[in-house]
Amino acid sequence: MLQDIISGTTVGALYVLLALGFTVTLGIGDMVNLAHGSVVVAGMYSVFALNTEFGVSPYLAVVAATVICAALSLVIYLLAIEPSRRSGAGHREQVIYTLVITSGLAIAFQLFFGGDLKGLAFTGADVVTAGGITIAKARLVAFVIAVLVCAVFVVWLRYTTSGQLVRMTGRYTESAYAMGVPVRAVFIAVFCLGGALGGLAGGLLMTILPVSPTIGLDFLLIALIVAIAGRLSFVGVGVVGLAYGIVQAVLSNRIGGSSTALVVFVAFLAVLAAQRIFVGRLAARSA
Amino acid sequence: MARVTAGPGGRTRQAPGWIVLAAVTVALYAFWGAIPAEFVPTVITGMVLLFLAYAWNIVGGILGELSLATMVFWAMGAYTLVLAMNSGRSAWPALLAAALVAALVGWVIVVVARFLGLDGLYLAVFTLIVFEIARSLVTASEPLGRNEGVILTEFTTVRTSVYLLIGLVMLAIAVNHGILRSRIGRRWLAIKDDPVAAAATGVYTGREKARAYAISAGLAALGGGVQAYYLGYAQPGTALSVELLIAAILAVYVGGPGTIIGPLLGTLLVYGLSAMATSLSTDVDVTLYAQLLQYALAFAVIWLLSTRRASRLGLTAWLGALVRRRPRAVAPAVPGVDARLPDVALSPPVRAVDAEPGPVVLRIDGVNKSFGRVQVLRDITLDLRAGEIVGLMGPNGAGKTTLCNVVTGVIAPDTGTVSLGDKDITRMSTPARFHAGIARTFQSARLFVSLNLYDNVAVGASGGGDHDRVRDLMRRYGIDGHTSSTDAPTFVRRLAEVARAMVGAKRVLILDEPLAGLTQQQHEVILRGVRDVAAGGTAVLLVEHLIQAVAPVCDRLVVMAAGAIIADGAPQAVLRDERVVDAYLGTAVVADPVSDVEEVLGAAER
Amino acid sequence: MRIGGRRVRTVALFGVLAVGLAGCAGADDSGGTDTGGSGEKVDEVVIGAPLPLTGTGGAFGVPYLAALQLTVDAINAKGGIKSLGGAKLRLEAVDDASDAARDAQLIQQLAAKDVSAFVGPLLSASVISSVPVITRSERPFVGPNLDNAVTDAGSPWIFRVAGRATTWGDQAFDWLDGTLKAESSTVRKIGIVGIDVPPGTSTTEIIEARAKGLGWEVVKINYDQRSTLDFAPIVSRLRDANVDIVMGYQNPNDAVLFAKAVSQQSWKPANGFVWIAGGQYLTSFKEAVGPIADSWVVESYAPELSASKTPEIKELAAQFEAKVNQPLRGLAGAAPAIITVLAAAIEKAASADPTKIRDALKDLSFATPADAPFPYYSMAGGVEFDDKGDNTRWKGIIVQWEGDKQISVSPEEVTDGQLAWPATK
Repeated sequence: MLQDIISGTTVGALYVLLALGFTVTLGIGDMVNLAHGSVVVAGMYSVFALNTEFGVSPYLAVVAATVICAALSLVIYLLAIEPSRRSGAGHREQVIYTLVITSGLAIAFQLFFGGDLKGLAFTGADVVTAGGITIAKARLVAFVIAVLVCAVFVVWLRYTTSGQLVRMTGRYTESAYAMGVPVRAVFIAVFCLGGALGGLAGGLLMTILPVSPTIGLDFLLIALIVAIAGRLSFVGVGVVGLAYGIVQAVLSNRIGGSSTALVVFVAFLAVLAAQRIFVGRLAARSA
Repeated sequence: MARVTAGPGGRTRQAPGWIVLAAVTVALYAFWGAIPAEFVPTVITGMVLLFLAYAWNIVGGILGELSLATMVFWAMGAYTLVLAMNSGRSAWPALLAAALVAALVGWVIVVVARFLGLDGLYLAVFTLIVFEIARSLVTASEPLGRNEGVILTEFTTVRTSVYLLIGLVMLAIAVNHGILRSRIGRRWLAIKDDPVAAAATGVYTGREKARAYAISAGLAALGGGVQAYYLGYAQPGTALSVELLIAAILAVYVGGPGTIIGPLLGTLLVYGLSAMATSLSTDVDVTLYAQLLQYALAFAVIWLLSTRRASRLGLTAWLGALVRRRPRAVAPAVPGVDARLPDVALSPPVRAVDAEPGPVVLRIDGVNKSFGRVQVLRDITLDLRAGEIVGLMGPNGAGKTTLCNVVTGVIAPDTGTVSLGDKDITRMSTPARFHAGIARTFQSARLFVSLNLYDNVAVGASGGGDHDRVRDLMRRYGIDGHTSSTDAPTFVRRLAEVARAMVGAKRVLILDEPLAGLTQQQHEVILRGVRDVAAGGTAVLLVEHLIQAVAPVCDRLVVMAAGAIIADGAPQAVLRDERVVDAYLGTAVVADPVSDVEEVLGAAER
Repeated sequence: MRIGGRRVRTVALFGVLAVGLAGCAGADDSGGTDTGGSGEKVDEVVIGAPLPLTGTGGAFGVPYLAALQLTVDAINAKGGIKSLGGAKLRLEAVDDASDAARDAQLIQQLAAKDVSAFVGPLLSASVISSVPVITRSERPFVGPNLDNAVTDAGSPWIFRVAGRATTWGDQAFDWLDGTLKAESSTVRKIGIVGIDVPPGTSTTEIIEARAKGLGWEVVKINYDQRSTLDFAPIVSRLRDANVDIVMGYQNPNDAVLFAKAVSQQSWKPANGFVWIAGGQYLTSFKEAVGPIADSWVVESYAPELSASKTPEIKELAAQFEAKVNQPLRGLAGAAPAIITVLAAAIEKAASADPTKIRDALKDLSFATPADAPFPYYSMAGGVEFDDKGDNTRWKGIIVQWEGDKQISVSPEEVTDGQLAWPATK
């Protein structure tokens, strides 16, 4: 049981990192990116390709993956987000556009990498054992990096001038225009940061899990559940993300994957209902 | 623009649609055998997608809600059919029962979503989670065959499957057609464009949403059943396929959401390429490239078309616009209509200026409202009498719009009551108030972009008699010569909004800054219309900033400041009141308060 | 307009009636086309092979197709189908990308192109969902799949050359029972690990039933292969439960991950690991996993065919190794047997007509590989199909890893090495 919890915590931290990107994009910029899951998968494939084709060391490849995903996010922004922000149709168009992009990316992944599961060779026998618990070193490293990055990011957003400027631009966009803030640049930066976080999460995930073209939707679901149940707040996302990982690890060995998923989804709805009754409607910009 | 009903001369224009549908149905049944055998599977898959697109169009295109739960109902049909056939029971009654249950589940989803206060993105996520719950339930269920699903023990033929599929597709198109041609379609399009304005015009959004979801769900279940019949199994991979749903959604958006040929055009574009590719080559890479290309193409189409102003209707609207640009025979000018200044055929004011006002129609008593720590309405007490024109004035932020919202039921007061005649309506919903006789216009004319002008005015109409009333109103305001709601000039749109409100406003009409952005001549017209309305016995609450324009018309002026009513009485007295001058007219704006007021009053008495 | 609602309802009623009538009219004419196989002078007999050449099943499909093709070439080189005047066999292979939905389409397209029989799809899940469409196409299918559901549907067109999962489990257990007695080993507790979809489900069920029958305590773990990527907890559970032996069914990817988890926790059950088919017999598995899997036992389709006593098969194995760079064994090793069976039926039917071939398959019978009409029967036992299409004469091969070599330890006729017990190093 403890083994499961430890296992789950390591994955949970990555879920938090993954959801953080989505949360920031939606919470600060009010932008919906349903292709976020595919961006994570792009991060995974980047690490895989760099490591197996070009022999780049895995963690270096993770850094590269982060950059690649930021660039991919820029493309998605220009294609899908900017037009809908101009036409003022808001979320509905962004949902449609990014859904299409995510489907297209899944096909592209299958074309370039094949439909089967691909894993990194190096996830070998390196383990750390303590008190009867075994953790693969790669998981430990991924966990530490995820926690660090999340912490740094939150601190930046909350306590530095540039971070606060970003938050204020999101909340009071008209005033930001008036004050001469390069609003478009800020929104692009927010969107690409979100993608970069997703790409980083994907890269780290690649060091511990295999990838296939269709898992983008699973990651998107995780991002959605964690972000929304966490009410788009950092603390919320952190708590829900970790809880998700732990619950998943503990339950799936006991009642099977499908039943675990069922429990998680029903719990999500229950959380939504509880929030509605006790806390009130979720406002988009509360990050 | 969706051609919902055809406006004046309506019914005869509907017949061709049904005839075309019937002819196409017959043709399909007769000639499907001409399709070469190796293309049949591709065509069948395309028809399944087409059916799903039409089924989704009902909720997602017409009503405009991004529901991702459709496959739940699809799976209900699929599994019910297979299990029923396997257990020796007759499949088709079972499938119909499944469709009814699916409709019920659709209704439940709407109820839960409303309880959770979800819309837009959060509704989409909610429906996605419902879908995932269904998927995990099915894949965890032993009797449902888990991931492998259930296989039909009886082996089915292609011919029957095709017959069923043709019937289903035509049924779905017929349902779409019927909805779009009817009052229901008008209301749903209104909800899509502007739920608040729709509610204010008497549309019971909850009820209508439930209907839409139920119909779409029932159809989806039928589709799932027939697909399972054709494939010979019910499996999560096909019955709960989110990829298929996304393709259908894309098809609807590319073709034009909420239109009748949109889903067809969209499916052709979204599926056509990959269908050709699979038919011509069995190479996997070719198929994948074709799919990728078609997504890119579809995306490009939506993207290009959405940069046009308000053109959310995809290919259909674009093609329509192309058609319209061709020079047509000039429509005969309706006599007496001047686009700039409609000849409003109104009766002169019949009520003498000092006649006795009628009985109290609307009573607002002791209403308070706070948003958080800000108190927006303080102890408001106000009476409106039949036939009275009451001007409501006050600086920005005084609470005028909030008061209007309380009267129309958009906002519930913290304390106090609102009564219509004898009836306490404080808890009555906005649409119900419309039907009880309270209607309003909005600060910026909120017409429904998906509807033409006639349909806009007719949104609140509920019966045969009302349609005459609609036509009559449009004629009286001189706007019956216009068809498009988006191309019409501001003045016409403002009048249309008034007409729309007047369909229901038999007792109270609230006009929220109706004169903004209009010329003085146009003011005259609007105000003549207001007097006409009052003459008919309706109480009018006229919210306006332009005192000079409004004061002559009003029987009474009510002035609000900082959430409270500071004056209520005859215009002369109110405008001279010190508190009003202080709060509203201000000292900086008016150099000599007393003489300027005299000037205004002088104008009023003229 | 005001009767819009009523119109909708009328149309709906009409539509429902139409659908209902169509349903009642459900004719039973066939969806397939005729084959022109009535005469005896035929130039070639086409065999449809929708196979997973890419995607999750690619690791199985590619070698399988190579082996199929080599066998077809060999038979053609030796004169083809003599009863048809030397007609050649031709494989029409297409990639289904491991997608069951694609299979349905491909099967119909191949049927429209007049293939006489099918040797694909390959993956159990694909085959199961393709049974209706194969049946509708009225062409026989011959395959090696082990999941029970493949023949449970009762289609008269499906023929399975290897046993059902239940038979696999039974035979493996029979062998295990005998081996434990011979090695004087006792088992009190067994860990059963399997994917929670076919064929994992049926395989783990039969193992559980037999184990309980012997009075063993059972720890059974069926996991969701889609979502289980960390096997440390599962290995942990087995280790904590102190099982004496581990059996089960895993896919290639899971098998690798599981083996690595076992290695990471440095754990060995007393009697080792015995797998029923699954990814453990693949060369790629041993390459990825290394020494930890030495002496692991797997019940497989075919033995190491390069060591075969039949010269034709040995030659085939050499050609295969030259072409595909891996030894011919396991699932790919079943391919020559499949072609043999089909060729034998075509020969017997003296026709390319699918119905005649199907009837010939039903009557086909031989007791040992040496009795087969063509010398390429690469599995053990013989062939005789029962009413459901299962091969009642099939015998599973038990192999054990010895370094990179797979030695066969059962049945006797294919044994080429000494079993090392306990099945753990």
